[in-house]
Amino acid sequence: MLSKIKEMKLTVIPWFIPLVLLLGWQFFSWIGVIPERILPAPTSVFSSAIELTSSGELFSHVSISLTRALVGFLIGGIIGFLFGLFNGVFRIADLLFDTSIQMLRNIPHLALIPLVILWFGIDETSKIFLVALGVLFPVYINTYHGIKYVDKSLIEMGKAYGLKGTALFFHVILPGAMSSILVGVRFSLGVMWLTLIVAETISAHSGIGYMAMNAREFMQMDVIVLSIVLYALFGKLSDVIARYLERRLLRWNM
Amino acid sequence: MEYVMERKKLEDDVSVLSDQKNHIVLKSLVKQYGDRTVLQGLDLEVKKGEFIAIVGKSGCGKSTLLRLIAGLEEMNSGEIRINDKPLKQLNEHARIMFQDGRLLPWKRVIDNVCLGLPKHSRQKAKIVLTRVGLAERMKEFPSKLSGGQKQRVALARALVHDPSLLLLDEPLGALDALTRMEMQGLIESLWQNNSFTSILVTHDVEEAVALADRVILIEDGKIKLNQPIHLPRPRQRTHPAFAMHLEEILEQIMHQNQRKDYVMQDIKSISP
Repeated sequence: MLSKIKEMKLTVIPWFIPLVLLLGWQFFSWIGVIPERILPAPTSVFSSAIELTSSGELFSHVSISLTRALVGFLIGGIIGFLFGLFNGVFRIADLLFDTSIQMLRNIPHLALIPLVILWFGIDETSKIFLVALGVLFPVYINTYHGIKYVDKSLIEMGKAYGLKGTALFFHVILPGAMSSILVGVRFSLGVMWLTLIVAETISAHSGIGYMAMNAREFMQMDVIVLSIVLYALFGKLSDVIARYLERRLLRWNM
Repeated sequence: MEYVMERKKLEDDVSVLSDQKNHIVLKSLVKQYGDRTVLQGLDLEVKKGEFIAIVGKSGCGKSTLLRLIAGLEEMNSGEIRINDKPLKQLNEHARIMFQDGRLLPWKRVIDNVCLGLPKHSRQKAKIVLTRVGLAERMKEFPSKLSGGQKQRVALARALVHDPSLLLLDEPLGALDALTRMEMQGLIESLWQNNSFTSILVTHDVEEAVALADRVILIEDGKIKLNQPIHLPRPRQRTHPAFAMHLEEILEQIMHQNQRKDYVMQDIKSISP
């Protein structure tokens, strides 16, 4: 009984501050301290959410944004992971690729937006390209480091116990690098949203960012705020997924 | 009297010495790290089933010697023969147990023991874990175990391969005194019930005298003392003969120390 109350507390407390802010915001909008054209009340944001949902517009914007995020993340994440893997494991790959990757990494990928628009237009390709590019480097660096700095004494032990090649990799090296790899994944999820928001805001004709920019044209403050809230929710969602992965894959560390 | 009480194995060693095959033969072994010579022309023969303890000050090369026998490092010159065949790479007959255990933290106890074994050997791993008294903890992760328990798992992991040679690299160095005594008893009984050869590297001379058929003292990269211990097992630490051996070996270690101290004093008195 007591532990149940404790458990409930643990789930409720983190939401306390967002709830208070929401209630305060509603209250001050209601008494007129916050004017509608500066910041619309939560209720009007909510009602515009319902309106856009029933028209199907919200769903199409959200799904296109999520698709871009996911596809870009997968492409960039897989490429970054593979490069990190090969450069971490094979000396020759390290010598061949690492310097070039480090040079590319230091270019802010958002600076490429003008170039990317000229290359790919403002279609899906340009957003996915930018997201993939942004996600690639955090995953690469953390995978590379994770693999390079696996405890050498454990590798020696594995060899002394007859492990080699793929067995050594899957039993010792990859699990040893896993916590570092997941740090990269978590970091790159943040980069993924950031890149997508910027790309969609600057140039797009669909997606959450476009919805916000479009609403600006018509001074629809409630829709703009709705877009921001959506980004916050999706950001939280990807964090939850990352935490879940950590809990599953690093269970031994808990 | 003392001789009668010897273990049968040791008796065999003495009476049929010429027939007994040497398990390990080291010939003028040299190992250098850069400019530093760690082992210089070391010779040693170890018989099948023998329990050898190697003692010496830290940095004397005793761990290096063990790693050479395990095939984890290459020597600069000399020869290592295992069962009369030269050792080229990793010593496949040997399993080594390290001071820091080196369990894989992401594998449960049972999976750590099964490391490098085919899938169907789980049952065998369970049996070995029972022998070291950890069968109930086999589903736990190593982080949940105490230092002594971790070393038990490491011991089980080494023994599950039925090695003909068990190499122990200061395996009990990090444990508290009581746990260490307990583990010494465990290692001794496992060694008595299985027919493996054992080489223990330790800085604890008492541990060496308690466990080994022969205590080897390494100094300046060479064997300085090769002392057989003819005492009945399990050995009583209070036994006068035990104390005698202990004192003798300690004296050999300290003696060298004193001489060096004198040299240091001389140098000091010469320099202004």
